Amino acid sequence: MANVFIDIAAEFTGKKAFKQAETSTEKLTKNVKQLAKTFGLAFGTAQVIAFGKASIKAAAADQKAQQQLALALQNVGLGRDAASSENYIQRLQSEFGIIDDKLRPAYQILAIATRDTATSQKLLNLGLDISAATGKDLGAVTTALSRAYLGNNTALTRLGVGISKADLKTKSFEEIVDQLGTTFKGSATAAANTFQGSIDKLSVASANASEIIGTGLIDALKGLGDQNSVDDLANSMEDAALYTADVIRGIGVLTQKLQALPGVGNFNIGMIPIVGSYLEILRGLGKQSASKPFTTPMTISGQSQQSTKITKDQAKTAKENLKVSKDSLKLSKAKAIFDLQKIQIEAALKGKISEEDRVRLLLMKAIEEENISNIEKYTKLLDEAQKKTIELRDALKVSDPFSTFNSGALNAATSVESLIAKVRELTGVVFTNPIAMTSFAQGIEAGLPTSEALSGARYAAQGAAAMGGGSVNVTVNAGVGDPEAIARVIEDTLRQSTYRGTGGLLAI
Amino acid sequence: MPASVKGAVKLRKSLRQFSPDLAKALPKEIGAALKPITRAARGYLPDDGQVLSGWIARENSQSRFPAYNARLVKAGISYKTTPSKPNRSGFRSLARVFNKTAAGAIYETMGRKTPQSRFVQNQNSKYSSQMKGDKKMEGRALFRAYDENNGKARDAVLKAIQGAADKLNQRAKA
Repeated sequence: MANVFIDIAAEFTGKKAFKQAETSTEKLTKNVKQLAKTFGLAFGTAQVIAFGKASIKAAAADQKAQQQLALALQNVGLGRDAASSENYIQRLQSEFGIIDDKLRPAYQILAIATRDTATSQKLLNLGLDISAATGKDLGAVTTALSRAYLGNNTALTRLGVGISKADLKTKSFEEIVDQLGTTFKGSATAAANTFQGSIDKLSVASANASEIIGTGLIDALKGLGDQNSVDDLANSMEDAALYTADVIRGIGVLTQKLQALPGVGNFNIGMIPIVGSYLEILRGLGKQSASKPFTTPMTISGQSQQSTKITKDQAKTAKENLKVSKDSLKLSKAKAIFDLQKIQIEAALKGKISEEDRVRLLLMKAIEEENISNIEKYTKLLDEAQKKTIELRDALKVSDPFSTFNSGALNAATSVESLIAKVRELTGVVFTNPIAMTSFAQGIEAGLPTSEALSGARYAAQGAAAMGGGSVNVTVNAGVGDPEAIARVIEDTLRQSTYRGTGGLLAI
Repeated sequence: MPASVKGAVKLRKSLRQFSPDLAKALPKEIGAALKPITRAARGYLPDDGQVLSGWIARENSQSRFPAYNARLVKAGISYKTTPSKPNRSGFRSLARVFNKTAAGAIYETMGRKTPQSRFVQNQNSKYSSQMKGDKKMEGRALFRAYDENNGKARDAVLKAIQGAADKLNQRAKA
């Protein structure tokens, strides 16, 4: 059979309604019998009234605890899970035989600490296991777990749950929880399945019955509404209890008699003529007054539209914040593009520079960026570099290289003069012609043998004589009015003259 | 996983009793929210010519394997807004979309477990809508449409139920 469907929304109405109803009826029958014994046979009127008072007290306390838990959940943002949390507590109560008066505070502590329904329920399950295994109070265990969740592991060590201090220091909370889960797995279930567990379950059922009856009595009180309603109700209860006890006794007798008759099977109160009808009417009235539609607001759990909206809003805000930060980053980058100072520093850093200059530039960059740590760092480096430079300078310190230049040049001139004198003395050559003497001196300076130098001097003198007594008139064939052309021609002429060895003789 | 609503069945009863107009409006509103899913799901189903020839209904066929008839399969994708009977876990569905024909269910889920089977591969080579969703909610038509709806329908249904409850309470107070 095709079974493809998607439930968009659903409501929990209880498991297998018919079977549950059947079981409930059976339980009710047993309870009625028990109540008949208790009310009619064992206790008197005073006990009935005391029971009524205790029931009212229990119901009021239960209602208060429920409201407190709902309020606490609402305050930590888990308001929409209040109904499911209450169901969860009721389930735990019936499963493990622990009364809700203990479960609710424990759950509340965890919910406040974790602010998450799933985590709270997981930790409460763990707490139940630990409590069952160690015998510690559930409240103490859940308090320790909630503190550990918030980072305070001291309470966990005091519980004595087999976790070392080293584990507590090195492991995360999730790992510790996993370890505890493995250590105490199934303890609560095992405890619930013992004889003691069964007794606990019965006592829980008894407490619940008391609360249910108390709730009915509170409704009745509210219904009366007068100033003297409590007294009236007490008197009425007393009368009703006496009346009920007698009636129950009577019903017991009547049932025995009726069942003894042939053909009468299962007996029902409603089968009693007239009296049964009245009782049925009374029951109907009570039922009607108990079930008031929408006295409690309808709740939606799971992923509702409201939670989706909140999540969307949060995501939107986060997105906007991210955009703003991205924009500011882009802006700062854009600013950096046009920051000439920085550009110059960066460009300078890319060039070939000394270590000291590099440190200076980095310091400038740090100052631009207002980066204090870098400023300190590079200032220190710069100081060191400067010290090294000073040391290097001291090490390389020498006297002025040009200080002896003038004396050297003078010495050289003196040497040349003495050389000429010596030549004159050795060769007996006396230069009357300054051109010849200069040529001879240049030849000697150039390293020529004396004979060649003399020969050169002679040619120079001859050349000078041939040119007419030391002055030459040069006709420059160049464009008139073009000084550049004239200068070039003169320069060429002088150069050629120099090549010939007569350059020093020329004068313009 | 459907959203759990407490008191909705009672709300429907109260609406019928105290405000019949709201009782009529609520299913319409829920239906309007669910229609986009069913419409999209029908669009993902193949026509008769797009399925394997042996899968199409034939005259005098004694085959027990459900034959594919595009018209029937598409008509089988629908929704309901009336509360269902409680399931094994005790939940009553308040709004449901379904693919009720056997052939439609086969097309929806084929290849979840045996993607390499000959039938699946042959059908995929001829025509196949993309599988979407996760685990038991994975499918080609209805589950895909629901997956692509991204919870809009669920939110609209919850909004409709909550809105009806608010209106009823307002009228009760007035």
